[in-house]
Amino acid sequence: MDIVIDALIKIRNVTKRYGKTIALRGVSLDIGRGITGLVGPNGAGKTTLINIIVGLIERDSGKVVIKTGEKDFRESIGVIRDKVAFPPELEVEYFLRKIADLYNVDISHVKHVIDIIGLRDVKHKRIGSLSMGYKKRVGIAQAVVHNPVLIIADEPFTQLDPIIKVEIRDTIHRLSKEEGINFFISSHDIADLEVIADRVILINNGKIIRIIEKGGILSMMIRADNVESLKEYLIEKGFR
Amino acid sequence: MNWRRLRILYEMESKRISSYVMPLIFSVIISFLLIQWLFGVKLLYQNEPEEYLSSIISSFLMYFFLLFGMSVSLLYIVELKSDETRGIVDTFITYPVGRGDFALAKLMVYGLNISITTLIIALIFLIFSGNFLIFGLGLSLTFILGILLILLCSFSISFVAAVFIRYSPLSEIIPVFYFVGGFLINLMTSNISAEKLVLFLPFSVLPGLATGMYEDPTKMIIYLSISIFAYLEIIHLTYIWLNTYKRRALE
Repeated sequence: MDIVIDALIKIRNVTKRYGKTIALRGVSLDIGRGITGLVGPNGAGKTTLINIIVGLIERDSGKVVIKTGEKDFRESIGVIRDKVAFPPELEVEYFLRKIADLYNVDISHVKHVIDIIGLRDVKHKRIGSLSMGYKKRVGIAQAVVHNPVLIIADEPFTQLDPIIKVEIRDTIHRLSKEEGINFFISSHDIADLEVIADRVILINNGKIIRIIEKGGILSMMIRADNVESLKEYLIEKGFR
Repeated sequence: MNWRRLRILYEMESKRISSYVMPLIFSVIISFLLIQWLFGVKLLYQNEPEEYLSSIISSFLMYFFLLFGMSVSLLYIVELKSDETRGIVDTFITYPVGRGDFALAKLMVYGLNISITTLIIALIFLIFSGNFLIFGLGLSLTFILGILLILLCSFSISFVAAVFIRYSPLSEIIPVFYFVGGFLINLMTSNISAEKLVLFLPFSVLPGLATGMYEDPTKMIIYLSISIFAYLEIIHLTYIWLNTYKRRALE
């Protein structure tokens, strides 16, 4: 396991079992600053790991330590879940204002978030009436609205057409570079993260199998022979 | 209890309820019950009014508890279960609020809406049907207070259901629960003393108090206070349990 100095989240030997199925087999990793990707095929344990980190499910054993400086870790992290689950009856701006209010954040910040996420055109529409692309944007906005140190995103690129996917990817990249927000993003497709991630953690069958730093990904992806070897490696490990 | 966050959740939840269906359903149920009761009282009143007044209010409140409690529970639990299934509750837990905050805010919205609707209907009924004159102010206020106590019992019992909502099809078993409860209440009312009964059904003591039926009314008021406190404590303890449960996932 690579130890990251100044890690935001330290995960040590975390296990989780659902009946006879083992979802996580002693996962240990550090999540540092920048954009960290968690890539693995369906059923690899990504969502289980993320739900354990954000406190939605309990782990069977191991440790999760979140070092973001707040007493309640939820004050300093934002969560984008794989399910787009927001009250469909509420208007976008009203919902974001209330979430900002929950965090005791100045409501004027909501306008800034609406602008940078690209929700200005739909801010008075009900969430339930939005397209999937806009719903995903609302997902990013509600995670960003309280200026978090870290955003944990579970499959933010699923159910999106290629153009919207690129737009969402650009938004995440911009938030990381311009607003200084760190990201931990899961995806089942390495192509979603290859351009923006500073490091990618490969997970399969409940185990961390490899951690690739940005230079590593790029050099592997750019050089044709390495593309092939990376492909072979990923196929061997069960990736598509 | 963080009242500021509860207020924000309450405002969001009240904004989410935009349908008139719920008050309409309750209006129909309550009107039906009140009309039934009116005819019952009028008939009995013609014969022996003094003897029947107290018991008729008690029995009305009991049936009211069964039907009303069941409806309130169904509405609240169905709505909460729907939010749980759609993942909305889990989304809110990622904010600095607990499952208990979310459930309590929802209950407060339903509670307030339903209480206001019910009390308005009850008042209109008492005033326009002339029952204020039949019963006098004391018994009429007892009737209103009884409804408030029924609501407290219903809401606290419903709130406990939020604990189990992820594990069972609760909305389907609520009617069964209430009818079994009704049977047990009937059994209890005929077999246990008034002092013990008031601990479970605080509203049962009100008609007796209003008509001066008890030798030691102070004692009954103390039992009534204990009962109200116990029902409030059910809500409080459930709230704490719901709010701490998910926190155990982390250190």
